[in-house]
Amino acid sequence: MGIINLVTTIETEGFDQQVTGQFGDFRAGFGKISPVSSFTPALRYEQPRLGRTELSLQASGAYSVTGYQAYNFKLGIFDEPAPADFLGAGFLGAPFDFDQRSQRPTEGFNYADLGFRGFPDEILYGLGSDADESSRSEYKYEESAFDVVGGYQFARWVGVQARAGLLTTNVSHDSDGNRPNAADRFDDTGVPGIEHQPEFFHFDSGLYLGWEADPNDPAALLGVRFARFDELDGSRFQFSRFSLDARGVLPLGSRQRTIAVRYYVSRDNADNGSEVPFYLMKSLGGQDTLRGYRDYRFRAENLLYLSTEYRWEAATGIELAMFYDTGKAFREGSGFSFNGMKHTYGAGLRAKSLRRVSFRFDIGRSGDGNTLVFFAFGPSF
Amino acid sequence: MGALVKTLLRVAFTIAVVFGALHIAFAFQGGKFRWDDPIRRDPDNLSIPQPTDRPLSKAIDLLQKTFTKPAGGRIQSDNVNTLGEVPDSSWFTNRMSRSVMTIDELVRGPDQGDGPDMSGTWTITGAKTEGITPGFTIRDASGDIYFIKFDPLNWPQMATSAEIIGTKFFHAFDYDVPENYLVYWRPEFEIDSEAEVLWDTGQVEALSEGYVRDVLKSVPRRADGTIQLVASKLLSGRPIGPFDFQGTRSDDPNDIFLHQDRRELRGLRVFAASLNHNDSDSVNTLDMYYSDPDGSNYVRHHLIDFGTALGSGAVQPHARRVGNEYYIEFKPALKAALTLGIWDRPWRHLDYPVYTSIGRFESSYFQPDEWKPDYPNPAFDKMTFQDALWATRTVMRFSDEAIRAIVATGEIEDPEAEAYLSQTLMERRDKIVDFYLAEINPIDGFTVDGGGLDFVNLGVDAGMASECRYDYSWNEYDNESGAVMPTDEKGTVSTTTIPVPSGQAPFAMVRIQSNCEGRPKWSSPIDVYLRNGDSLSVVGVERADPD
Repeated sequence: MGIINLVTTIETEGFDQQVTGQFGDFRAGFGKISPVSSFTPALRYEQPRLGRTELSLQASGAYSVTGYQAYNFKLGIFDEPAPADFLGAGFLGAPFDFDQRSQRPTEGFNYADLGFRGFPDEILYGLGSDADESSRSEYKYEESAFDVVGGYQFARWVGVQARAGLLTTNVSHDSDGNRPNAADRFDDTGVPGIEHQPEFFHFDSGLYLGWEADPNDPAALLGVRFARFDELDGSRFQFSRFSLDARGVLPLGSRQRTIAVRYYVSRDNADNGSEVPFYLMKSLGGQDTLRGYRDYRFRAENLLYLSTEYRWEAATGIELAMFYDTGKAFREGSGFSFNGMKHTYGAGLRAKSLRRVSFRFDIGRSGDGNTLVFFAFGPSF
Repeated sequence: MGALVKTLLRVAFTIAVVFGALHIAFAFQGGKFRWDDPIRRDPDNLSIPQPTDRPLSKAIDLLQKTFTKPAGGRIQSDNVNTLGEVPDSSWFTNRMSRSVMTIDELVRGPDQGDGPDMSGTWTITGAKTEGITPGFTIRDASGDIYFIKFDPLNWPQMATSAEIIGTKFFHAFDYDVPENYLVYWRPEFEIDSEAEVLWDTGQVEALSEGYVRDVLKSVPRRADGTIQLVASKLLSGRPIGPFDFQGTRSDDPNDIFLHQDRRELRGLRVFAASLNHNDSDSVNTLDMYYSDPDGSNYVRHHLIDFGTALGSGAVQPHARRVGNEYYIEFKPALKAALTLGIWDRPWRHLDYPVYTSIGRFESSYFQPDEWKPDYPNPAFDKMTFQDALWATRTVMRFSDEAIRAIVATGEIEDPEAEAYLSQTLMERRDKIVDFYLAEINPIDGFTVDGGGLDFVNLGVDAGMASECRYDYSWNEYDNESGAVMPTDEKGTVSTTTIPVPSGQAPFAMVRIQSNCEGRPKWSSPIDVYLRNGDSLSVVGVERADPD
């Protein structure tokens, strides 16, 4: 589409169309593949209706200026992802992406999905709410997955998706050596998985429900997810994950002013005698959660997170926001309470369309007095 | 070699034009009025070498028009004749501006035929993805070429009906527009072996049946399986890109008036406001290098693409912003930002029906002087009340019956929606008339008949005042020196006929002021000039713009 329609299509197509450009069967894009990947150029080759069949093929590659890389190959029956999916959930194989749900057709999809991710400088502070900032260390993480994906979009407001397959992971020394290595700072007892990364069979499924006041203005969304990870050659890492993500947007007398809230909870239940490897744990902190803390600041088996944003539109395509985030990451399942929550507050400036935020600047300040500035693609939630 | 010939031709042409202009200037120097005033035809159809194809970037145009202002203040339009009328030209053909068109003329619009030949299968010869909606170029059974456009899937009739209705209106507003036909097409087609699709990236590739089928899957079908579409007939000549609303086209020697100072481009603001044609910028214009039957080759200027007029945003209904705020406008943005959104744009809270076949179109909040296109237009910005009066006179010539007849050409199936659209257009027309006629002395249409100077008061005709008196004072006018010599002939009349004194002076001038209750701005004077030639005739009209 190009710059020509940058402004003229904000109200019809949206900024997100501009993040990528199409060149024949290739689509070039720009974004992030990890919160700490820095800016990442990427290229995707698309071949819909292969040989006049229903089969489509898609091959993607992304390589960041800091050496982060991700590659993905899909073959099967699937709708062409929206451009905004380019470096988003669709690229990395999450079961569903809230922000693209309304663009999916009401039909099924089945495809094989082969992917690799190499993240050379991932961050680990330790586990749980008590992890000390001075314990920051780094590690290199790689994962390969071969999945079969299926799903069905019953209507605009309800869809299901599941993926199952093999997952191979590897943790090693980080590449730049600027920070202490995680393996030097932590041991496998305190941080499970830092010395041993097996192959997994994994299953991941999701259901989402959406209630929308307007096709482009979701009023409420609810996503429920169940995942299962089983080590192939042992029993040390076997666990299930339940998560719930609820979001609501409430206009305050005008679509110009809205209150947006998010409640997210995730719980990993390890089988008896098993543990959850740290690199598969969810985390808080960074551009999307607890925005006064750095990426991956709090990591544990269980997460509890609440966020509230007051958003107001200053002009076409420009939104301002004030937000308050609170949450915690904790290791014991008994910790599900609002005690010991971390807090951040801040403000943001977003470039958006009717459908979604394309990119944003958020400034967050934590209860610890740290102030951080984030530039991020996509919405905070 | 070709370039040398072209350069020599250009030099020869320029010399001819300069000498011609000097000849005329010397022959008629010193007078306000020349022998051929008031001119009815702007001779801007002199043969010229073919200008280059000049693409225009909407993004650059938007930024340029948003962040720069045209030079000069609000001066009067340059291209009007001595009566203040716009002569026929390559830009404009007086139709409704000259007299009320018949319903048949309005409904036929620019159409010269009956549209594409449906007796055989169409051949798709190309496709474009550029712009808001995709479309195809087709060759009909008779071999004529059309560009076809569709409605968005969830908004049947909205864009295509708007295109047809907009075409009729803008033709009646006297602009050159394409022949656009509303067609119900059963999608049986062939693809030309050389057909290509032009992607918006500029890439060209062979057009596949799969692509055509994909596009057709995303457009609404009627109950009988046909598709409502607009078939736009290829304009005559060779396309050389859009025109700009400021400056002139440097490679067109006929283009001598700054576009922002052309009355028909300034007055377009009033017409665009009446139809909520927010996309009335350069991208929706097209210059054609045209060969007329007399052998003259020159540039003709067209308005195209009315699929975003009325309530249609082409792919969805207009956003509420449309017509109320530019894409980029700092004052409301700052107000909203600094008040944390507590200050709200009032147009967000309008309550009006949104019909599937119309989109979002209203008249209750509409204020003619507040209406805005998507981004600033230098010609619109320089519109004076005289320009507005000229355009308003045309707008008020559309009777209720005429508006209903034009709306009916959109063949909107929902009678309630069709009635709403007609009613909304009438109300917008009335608001335009009420606003602009209140701002300036609205007497017009001067003719000499028998012993009197007749005129009409557009404001009284519009019901804005019931009784008026007109103060007048006659003067002799020396066309050579410009001297005005008062006479004793003055008085007041309560009719729209002023007695013309007998006299032998070659030129006379009468100054008229209207006195109508509650209309103080109508007292701004108007000078009407009469030439005493073979017969007494009106040769000039000069108005004063209110402060």
